[in-house]
Amino acid sequence: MDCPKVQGWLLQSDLPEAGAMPADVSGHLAGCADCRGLAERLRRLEAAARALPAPPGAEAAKKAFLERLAAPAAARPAAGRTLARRVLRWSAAAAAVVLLATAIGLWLLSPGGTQTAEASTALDQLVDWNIEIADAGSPADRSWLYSAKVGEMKRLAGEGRLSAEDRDLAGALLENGERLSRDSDPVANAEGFTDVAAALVQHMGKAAKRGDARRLKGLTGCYSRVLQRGINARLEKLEAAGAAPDRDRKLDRLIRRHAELREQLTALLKEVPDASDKEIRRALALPAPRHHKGK
Amino acid sequence: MSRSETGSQDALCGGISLAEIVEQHWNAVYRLLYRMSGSAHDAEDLTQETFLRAFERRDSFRPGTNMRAWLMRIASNALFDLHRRRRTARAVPLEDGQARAAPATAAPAETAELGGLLAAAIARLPETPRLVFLMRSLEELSFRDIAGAIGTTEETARWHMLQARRQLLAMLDGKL
Repeated sequence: MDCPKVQGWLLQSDLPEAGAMPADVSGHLAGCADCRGLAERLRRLEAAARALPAPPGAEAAKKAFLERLAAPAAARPAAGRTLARRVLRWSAAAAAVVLLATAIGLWLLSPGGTQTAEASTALDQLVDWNIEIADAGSPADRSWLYSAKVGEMKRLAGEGRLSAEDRDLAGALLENGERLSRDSDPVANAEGFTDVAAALVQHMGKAAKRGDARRLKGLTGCYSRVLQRGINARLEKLEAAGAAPDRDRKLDRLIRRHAELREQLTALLKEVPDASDKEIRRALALPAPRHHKGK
Repeated sequence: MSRSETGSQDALCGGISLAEIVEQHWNAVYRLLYRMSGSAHDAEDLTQETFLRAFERRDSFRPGTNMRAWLMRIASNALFDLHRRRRTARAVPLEDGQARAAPATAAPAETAELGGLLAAAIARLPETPRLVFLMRSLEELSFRDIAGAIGTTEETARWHMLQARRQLLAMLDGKL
């Protein structure tokens, strides 16, 4: 066999390992340094591919999916769980789901929109990076994850293709990444993610006012992940570690902030024609006599 | 099909419950879809979609064959459907041959540099060679199973692998 044939064989082989080679290929390799070099580089390529780290979020997503499989559709948080978790988990998830549904409805009706694919990808990557840091097992890992990617994230945040609003959100995520890298306290981390959630809700409101359904949809996806994977994951961690009385005040503040966010989301949803007032109340678990129209 | 209906079914394939299948194969399906989509959000949605479709089409699985390959086929179809919807909606252009950059992921320090470069290079591959490379090199599926998953012949699957390896070696020139 000549070099082109051997190299073609190597490039499409099952695994370029010496033991699996036909005699004429291994015979050629024994006398050809170029082809041996290719075989070795392919072996390293395969090893590097197998050593790629697990992507972020797989385990948490699996756990959430299995929980949903096991639970009836109308499952509610069990009695005895902490007030913070009960309030935050329910309001956050319900609001996000309704927003997603209504935003998609609007998006289908309205072809216009300003959020580019680049902006969506940049914000998604910044959210992923924040969650990766928050999920890291040790302070050293947090610091390493922050340092390893902060340059790339700053470049993404400063890209000229991003709108001023997206750069504002990217800045909030960069700032939260820095806070997460130096503080592993779950409550402080949940507060940091709440700042990001508040910024997202603010921009979602602007997008809704403009009737920019595509942007609303993109921001809603980020919002949903920040709440579920950022805030709720921190509160689960806090709960697993046991209650700490000194954190009650901070948790109270967090609950108040989320109550405000819920009010804002309710007002925002009222601007979306696809969601009826009744549906909004049901999804946000608001009592029937309560009204927000005067706000 | 609602989630509660899905969860009420104990047996999916050969007496294996959906929950067991999720436990065994979730990470592999998620890994493939993450590397293909470049987004944890899309990977999560598509992985859920894959397992729900698997349940709906459980009768199409032949006992004794490779379940992971069957799931990868469903995952590939879910991915292609997403791209088709996005192309139709003109929301996110994702043509074959023009991939979004995948975010790098955490890695031990000694392998982070090569791993990051390789992840970025994989993200720049055209869609089909990337899919073949990932199914073969990460999931170790046979070319026969890969061909079945992407709806082509084994020979064509090997040709896509050749293209993928050739381009990756060129992009990682001097790093391997």
